[in-house]
Amino acid sequence: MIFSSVEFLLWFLPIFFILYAISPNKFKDVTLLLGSLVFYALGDIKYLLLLVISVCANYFVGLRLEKIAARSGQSKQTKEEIDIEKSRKYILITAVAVNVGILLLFKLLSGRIGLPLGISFYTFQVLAYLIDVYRGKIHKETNILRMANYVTMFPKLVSGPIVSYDEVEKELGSRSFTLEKFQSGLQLFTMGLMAKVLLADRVGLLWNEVEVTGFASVSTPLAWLAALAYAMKIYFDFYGYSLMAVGIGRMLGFQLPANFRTPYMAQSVREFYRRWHITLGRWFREYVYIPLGGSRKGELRTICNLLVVWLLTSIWHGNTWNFLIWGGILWLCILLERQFEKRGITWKWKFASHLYLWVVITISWVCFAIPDVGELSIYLGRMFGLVEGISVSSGDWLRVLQNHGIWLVAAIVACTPCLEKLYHKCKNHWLGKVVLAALFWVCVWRLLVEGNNPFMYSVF
Amino acid sequence: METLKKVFMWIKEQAFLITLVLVGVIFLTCTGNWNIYGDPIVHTAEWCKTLFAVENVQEDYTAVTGNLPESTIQSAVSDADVSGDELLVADVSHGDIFGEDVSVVNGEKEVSNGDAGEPYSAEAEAPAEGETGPGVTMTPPKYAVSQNEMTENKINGVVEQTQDNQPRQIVYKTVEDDYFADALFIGDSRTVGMYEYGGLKDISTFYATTGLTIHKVLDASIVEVEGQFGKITVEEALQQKQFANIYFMLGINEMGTGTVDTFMEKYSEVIARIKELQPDATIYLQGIMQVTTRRSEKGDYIHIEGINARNEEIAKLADNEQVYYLDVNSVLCDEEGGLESSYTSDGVHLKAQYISIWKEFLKEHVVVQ
Repeated sequence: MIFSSVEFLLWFLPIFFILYAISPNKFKDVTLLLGSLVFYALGDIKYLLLLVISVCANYFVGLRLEKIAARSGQSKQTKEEIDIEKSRKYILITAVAVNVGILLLFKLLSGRIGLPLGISFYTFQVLAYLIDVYRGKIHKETNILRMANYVTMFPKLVSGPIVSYDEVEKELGSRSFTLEKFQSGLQLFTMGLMAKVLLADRVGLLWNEVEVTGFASVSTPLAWLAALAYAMKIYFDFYGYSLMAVGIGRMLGFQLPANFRTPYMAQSVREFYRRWHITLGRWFREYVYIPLGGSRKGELRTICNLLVVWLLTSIWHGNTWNFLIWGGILWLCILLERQFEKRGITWKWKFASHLYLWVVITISWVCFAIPDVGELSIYLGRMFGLVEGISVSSGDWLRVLQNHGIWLVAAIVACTPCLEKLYHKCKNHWLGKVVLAALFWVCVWRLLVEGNNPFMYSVF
Repeated sequence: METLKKVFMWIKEQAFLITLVLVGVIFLTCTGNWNIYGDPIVHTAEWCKTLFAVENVQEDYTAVTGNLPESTIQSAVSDADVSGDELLVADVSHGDIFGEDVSVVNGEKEVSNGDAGEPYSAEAEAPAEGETGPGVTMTPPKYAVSQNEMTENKINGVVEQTQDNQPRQIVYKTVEDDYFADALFIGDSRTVGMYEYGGLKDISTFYATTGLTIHKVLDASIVEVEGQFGKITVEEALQQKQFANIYFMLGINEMGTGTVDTFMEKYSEVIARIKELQPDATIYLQGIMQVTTRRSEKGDYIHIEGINARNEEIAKLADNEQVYYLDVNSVLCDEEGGLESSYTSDGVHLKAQYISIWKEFLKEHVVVQ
């Protein structure tokens, strides 16, 4: 079940929150868990059992991973302590291997069987928990109900954000359900819904048109326009979804982390990926990059570490070659940026750095968008005039701009901080609230009329 | 006064939630969409009933005729401006909410259990005919059309069986592009594709727009007129200008509503009207272009059998004197009867580079009068 669907908006959400509101406080955790499981079942019932098993198994593993506090004044560890340390290590390695192994298995097989809903997200969630307990960053969670809610809570179950345990630890134990937070969260949710339905879905039509036409038949200007449209679509799709997740979290009393920070305002690819899908980036940094040494072991080692991270990031997104090309391009750009920075070579004008970013990121999204490498090369070829067009209709980009141009412009404008600033200014004013509430129903109307446009990231 | 002020303040604080509920009630009422709540409850109740009934329970979801219950959600969009937001209403009340498939076959409601929930695929598909692509507005070429000499025409003879099984000879010839100078193409987004990529943009006239249906075609205000600001309807345009050949292809957008019979009823009406307005024109009824087997298997209202059923009926309208039936599917489909998958990306529309196959078919099937 996806957030931007009539079923979720008009059935699941109201019913869940009515039940949640009338549940006595002690029972709210159970309601949340049941709600999340029902939510998952409605999306992918065949792998519900896998989710439940994963939660339970990892809960028990977590109990065994608790770091024993070092006793002060002792210089040497007792044999017992050494044994415990060893077994903790092996337990962790095994648990990580099993979790990752299952994820990899499904990724490899996802051509033939579907990927279980949300597995990429909840697996990473669980791994973060286990590693943090091992490191002693957090204490093991002894309450299986809370552990279950941490992994399965429906706002972030399917598409993140990937939350570290300490971000929700307090609220898992006790949180308050207030009208104020409920309204505020629902407002944020509506912003996300608008981003998805009114921006992403609209601007995505431009890309769809080009797909339908066939990549060999688009003119070069149209190829660039459509690539830009895709860049906007994927952003507002995911950004919208993340806002909706945080909004629902707030309605429940949680403070989930943000996933995006106006990434298209970045001036380098490195900066872009510090602002894009922030929780995934920090997961890789925290649990892969830094353990490998980060950038502290010389440039060559850093390049290798970055390669590993980007390799894993590519595979995480999909198991076809185009994702490796996508990751590869970004890795190369990051390398080059590091080198230029070291030598003090920077863009002379700020405008140039923004243009650089938009061009590079747009090209990288094309690689992300087209799974078939043959089709991808045709598309890139058309972008750079290297491939002969077949049945190209001259002026096709003009017609497309006529039909979709306004959405493309709106999307580009919405990439700037102005949208968020506007929201923060208006959200507390009663008129702003009225307008936002009306816009909620505009979104519902659009969904009714055109069917639900599935969120792109929901197979990850 | 104090309490009144406090109440007022409280209302302003909760303005979002209050407006949400109020606007929601107004919206659902005005657009007649309370069945979003009503239908699943009704369907569940019916389903429970059928569990206890012995007769009238059929597991099979026979979707041949693509029938759907009456209570499809009414389009919230006014039908007037077709060239703006022409939309196909997505049938949410189809029962998919609780994974049931409800179909009305032969007037009896049958319920079967569909999949509880399929993970949504991330394929970016062009939203078939549910898309909201604004209609393409096409300027018909200048009314004064130069008649070009026809170049060499080949003549093919084809024997066709009519309804009474008396073989009547329909002779086809092959023509060049310029033959279509006084031709009119009427259709939906597939015909728009022909307009964009068929190379006839400056030669023929096109009254076509995304989402066009048989129910709206005559009243669709999609025809631009030189010197005039607004657009005129197709019916008005047909009154003003005479065409030698009219190529007609509609039907995929209507598959989500009504039955084959209601579709054909309207279809016959429209063709009769066109015959009235264009007595000298040869009318080519094109069979609805197929979809790929993959698209057909998606489980919604678009499927190969339904299209075949409608094409069978459309073919019966051909009198082989003024109205003829052409089946471009004969050159576009694979062995399984679905659209050749390499010709399309979304399973419904031909890719630009394959539109020529369609055009060539039309060029090779011009009736010799």
